[in-house]
Amino acid sequence: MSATTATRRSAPSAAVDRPGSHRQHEVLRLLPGPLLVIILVFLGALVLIPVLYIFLASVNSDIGVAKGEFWPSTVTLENYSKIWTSVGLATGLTNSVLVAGATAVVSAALSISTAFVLVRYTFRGRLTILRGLLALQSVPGTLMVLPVFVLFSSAATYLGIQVIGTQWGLFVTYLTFAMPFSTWVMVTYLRGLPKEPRRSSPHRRRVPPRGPLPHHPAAELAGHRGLRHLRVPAWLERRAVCLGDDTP
Amino acid sequence: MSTDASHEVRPAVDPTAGRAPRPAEDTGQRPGHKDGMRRKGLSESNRPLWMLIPGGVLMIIIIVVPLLLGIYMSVLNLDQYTLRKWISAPLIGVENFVEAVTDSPLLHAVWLSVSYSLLAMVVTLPLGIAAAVATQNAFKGRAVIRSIFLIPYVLPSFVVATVWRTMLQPGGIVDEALSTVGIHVGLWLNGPQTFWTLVLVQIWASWPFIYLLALSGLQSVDHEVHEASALDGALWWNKLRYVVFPYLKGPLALAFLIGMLHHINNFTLPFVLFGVPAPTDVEVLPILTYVTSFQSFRFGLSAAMAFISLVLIAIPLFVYLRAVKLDDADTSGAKK
Repeated sequence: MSATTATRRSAPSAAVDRPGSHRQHEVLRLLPGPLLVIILVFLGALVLIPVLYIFLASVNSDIGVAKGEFWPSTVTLENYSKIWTSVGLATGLTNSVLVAGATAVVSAALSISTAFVLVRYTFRGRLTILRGLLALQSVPGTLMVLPVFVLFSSAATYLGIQVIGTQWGLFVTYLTFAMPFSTWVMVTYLRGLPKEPRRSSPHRRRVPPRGPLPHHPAAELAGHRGLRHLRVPAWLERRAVCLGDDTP
Repeated sequence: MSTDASHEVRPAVDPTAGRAPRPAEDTGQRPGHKDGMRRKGLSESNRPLWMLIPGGVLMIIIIVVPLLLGIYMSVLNLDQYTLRKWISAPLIGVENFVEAVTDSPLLHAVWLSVSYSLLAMVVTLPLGIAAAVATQNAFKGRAVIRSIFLIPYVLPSFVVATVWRTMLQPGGIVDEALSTVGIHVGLWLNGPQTFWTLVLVQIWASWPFIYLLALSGLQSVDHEVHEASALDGALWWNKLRYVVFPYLKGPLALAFLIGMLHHINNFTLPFVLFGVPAPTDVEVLPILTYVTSFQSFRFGLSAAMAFISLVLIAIPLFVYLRAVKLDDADTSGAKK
């Protein structure tokens, strides 16, 4: 961000212009103080009130939530024990972990080799494939789900294999949505790795690989100087990248 | 496929997009002009193209085949009776399309989808920009504020929808809060107001995306620019309006496109908020397609609708694909 560039450029010249000094701050200032506070409070409340409500409702009783209480009249932790028995959260979680884990492993394994070839070599149709990977992520989910459903149901008719209602069916459906996405993520990741084999570099002991591990695709929007300095906690950032799709 | 995915991906954009207008020298490196250009550092010999096969074959089986089948289905008379033996389903040509356009709520759904996406976009843009501008300058606790602003972005759609559904239920917390100040709005989750409910919840869920992109745009403003405008004595509004906002044009245009794609394709939010069959005022395209196939069992008609929405999506998608930078930064002159 500009504060860091400022460090580099103005450090030798004037002592008054140190980053963090009052003058520097005034130069970079975008909004007058009161307006800043208004915006921050408004947006913070906009986000936090529903989030706080999620928590408060979770310790409230069903009747309290239905009556529209914000502050629970009776605080109870009963809901947290009930989810394991009444709705079978454990089964759902196991299913999710199984299917999502399998999808992640398979799509990552297969997309690495595809992405490697796409990034390192040139061939006819390469750009078409890259465009296709992006375009496929915007195809309406319904257009994909319908024929997948028909294929599954005909697998039962013609091949005698029951797919609908099984974890395999879910796995293949997830894979349909995950493959283009994970291949694209791999493409952007492999781009950041050095092209030459490491041993040809004279500095190989000193130069750390440019591993873009905490990679945020949005960083590339600003021509590689964007979000890298955005201090989002790493876990949040990873979360944001990994939250693939939740379209049916 | 899922737009939520594309929403997360945000691919490498031509770096010029993030800056103020630049000389046209970079345009020679646009992906479209690749033919004949030798990409530096990419080898031509010993290409292990076979490595494309595993992923490629899988993608052809699970994506290309269903996609083609989906298009083929749109010319079949496919319903719950013919579904089991869809290969022998009667071919009826464009009848599905004719019925979709003339005798179904499709046009209404297109209108709803587009207007809801635009409305949500129009409101989220200023919110996102304001948030980005407000968190650009360092202050104590900025990191916390930035994280808070990203909460709606990282919550899954179905969680957002469930929470809002709980809050907006009749006699729920929102009604309760509004009635204390004397406002009685009526039903949120049924009837004519549902459209506005959908727009509201979508705004809540998607403004942080605009915020992220606006922030990345703000960070490309050079320090000299701040100095120059300080020397010229520009007041904050003039500085924002004439100096800073031009830098945001590129990222925000991109955010607009991706956001529109995302909103038009958004199925989860209306589905969880209102359930199916949804009230007619929120029967947006994905919901209508879903209801037609899995409630009315008119699979052919539904495929035709899905195909029409694909055509609709293709317009912003085409612009988007032209705008993104497909090649890596190293090979073009764009690298700094």
